[in-house]
Amino acid sequence: MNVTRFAALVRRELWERHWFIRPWLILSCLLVFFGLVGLTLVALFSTTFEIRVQDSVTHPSGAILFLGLGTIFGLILLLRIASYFAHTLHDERMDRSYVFWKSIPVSDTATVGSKVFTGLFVIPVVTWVCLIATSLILLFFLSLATSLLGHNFWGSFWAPGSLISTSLYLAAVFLTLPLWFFPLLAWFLLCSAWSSPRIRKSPLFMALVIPAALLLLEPLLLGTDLFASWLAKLFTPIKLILMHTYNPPHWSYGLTMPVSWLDWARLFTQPELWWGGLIGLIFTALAVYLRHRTESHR
Amino acid sequence: MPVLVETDALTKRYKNQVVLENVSIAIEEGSIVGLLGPNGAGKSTLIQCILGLLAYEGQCRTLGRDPRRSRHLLMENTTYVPDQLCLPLWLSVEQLLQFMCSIHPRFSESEARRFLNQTEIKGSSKLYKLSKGMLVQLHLALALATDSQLLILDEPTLGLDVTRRKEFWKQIINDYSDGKRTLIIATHLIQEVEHLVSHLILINHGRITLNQSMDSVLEHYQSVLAFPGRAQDLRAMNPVKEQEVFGRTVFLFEGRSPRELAQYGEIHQTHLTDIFEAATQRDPS
Repeated sequence: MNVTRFAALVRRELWERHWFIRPWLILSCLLVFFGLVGLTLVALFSTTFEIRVQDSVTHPSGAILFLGLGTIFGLILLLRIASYFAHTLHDERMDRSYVFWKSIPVSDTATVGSKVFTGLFVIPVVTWVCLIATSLILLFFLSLATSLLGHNFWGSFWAPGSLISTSLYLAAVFLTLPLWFFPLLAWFLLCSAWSSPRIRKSPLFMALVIPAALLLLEPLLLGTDLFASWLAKLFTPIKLILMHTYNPPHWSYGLTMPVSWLDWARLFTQPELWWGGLIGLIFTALAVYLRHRTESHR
Repeated sequence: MPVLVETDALTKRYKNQVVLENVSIAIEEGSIVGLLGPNGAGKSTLIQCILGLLAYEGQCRTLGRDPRRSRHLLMENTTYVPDQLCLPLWLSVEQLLQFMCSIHPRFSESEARRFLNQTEIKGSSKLYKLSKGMLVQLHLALALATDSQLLILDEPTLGLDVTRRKEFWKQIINDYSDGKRTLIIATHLIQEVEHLVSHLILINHGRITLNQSMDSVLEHYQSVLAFPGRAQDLRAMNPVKEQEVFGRTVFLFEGRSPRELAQYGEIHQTHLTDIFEAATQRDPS
């Protein structure tokens, strides 16, 4: 598989899903809109308008805004990738376009590979770009509004070091998170290849019901809770994201990394990540096999 | 001539239903094959087996490869237009051309644009906004713009009006058939391909009922318009088909010499539709 073909396959995914940008645009517009409405209401009805801003050295407000929005975007990102993996191989059978995709010289491995690459890397990057754009727009309006009201928080809002390091931190989170959740996401992909359009079973339904049944049946039948423990461990990074949003680490100006980077880098030293990666690869290989076996139903 | 497609005892089952049974064919390079049969005869299934899109029992080699294992390599030299619309409707025409250009080594964007310029399809149009006929035209333009060794068309003109159909077949004859490329045309619109095909494969109930070159088919079948009062003599010679035309009887014979038949009637040009009807009425067992 050469690079040009692989790039064309990824571009096709972007075209199909409108560059994955539409929901982010809607979310961003809503956030900006409600942000502006909130500021206007405060300015109109509060006679003693006062904004408390964190200490600009330890907790720069702009960076906190980035982190807050990052949490929202990050959690939605995971749901979006899960939904993408759950539908991508199912949809092509539903609209019968898989006959066309199979009539071009591209292997099932390359097709599924391009979808995995899109889910794990392209969607997070697109999301990150949308997040940064939204954060900057909101920050600009916030700064403008506070200036008009006679406050000067530009230094705290726009501390460049903290904004850059926070942006890079969020990029790292957005790229690491899907890798950590790869076994679960690949399971969704497998369900997408598995569910039959003929009986119209929703792949998302199947992807959720089977683990839920496992969660219930394992303690009942085996008396163990291995699957539940594994899931709890898998969802640890979500706790990490929420913790860093509400208890941000101390920031240093300049391009030095915030402490939390190390937490994310530590994920790569966790054996769970590599075992999860292996399970994800097995599920992906099974999805390739099922796509290969897909037949047009009479 | 080298054989491009070869099947041996190819069988396809859906659960307990046998859709193709012991199909053994060989298609030579440069031939134009008419794969004819009534609806549900197994034409599309056979094509999809040949292309590796369906699993099967028995043997099949297409362009020297096992189609089930090497579908993607096979498709480098094969173009397939299926009988049902399957183009991804969320793409625009422009995006589809760009995509094909990046993916298919034998696809010519300029050729595709040349074909599309003869239609009313605009590059900026999303596929879901095109009519069924336009989608067929687009898919055929993609097929004709791909310089493949093997072109497989499954009911290619369904959805096209008469003028477009004529234009399409003209393009196939003038632009595509160069004696080296091989065409397999599956259709039940026999009149359209009658003067085009060099080899005929008739399929009915999943079995091959006729597999011969056009020349030998025309030699093998004779159509006779009975002289007044001689219909009974001809009937005694076991015709494969008989029909009344303006008060006179026309018989179709298989494997009889024209000289023998000329004593009882006027020998006429045999039409493929008559052969088709006779072959499909025949009990496949």
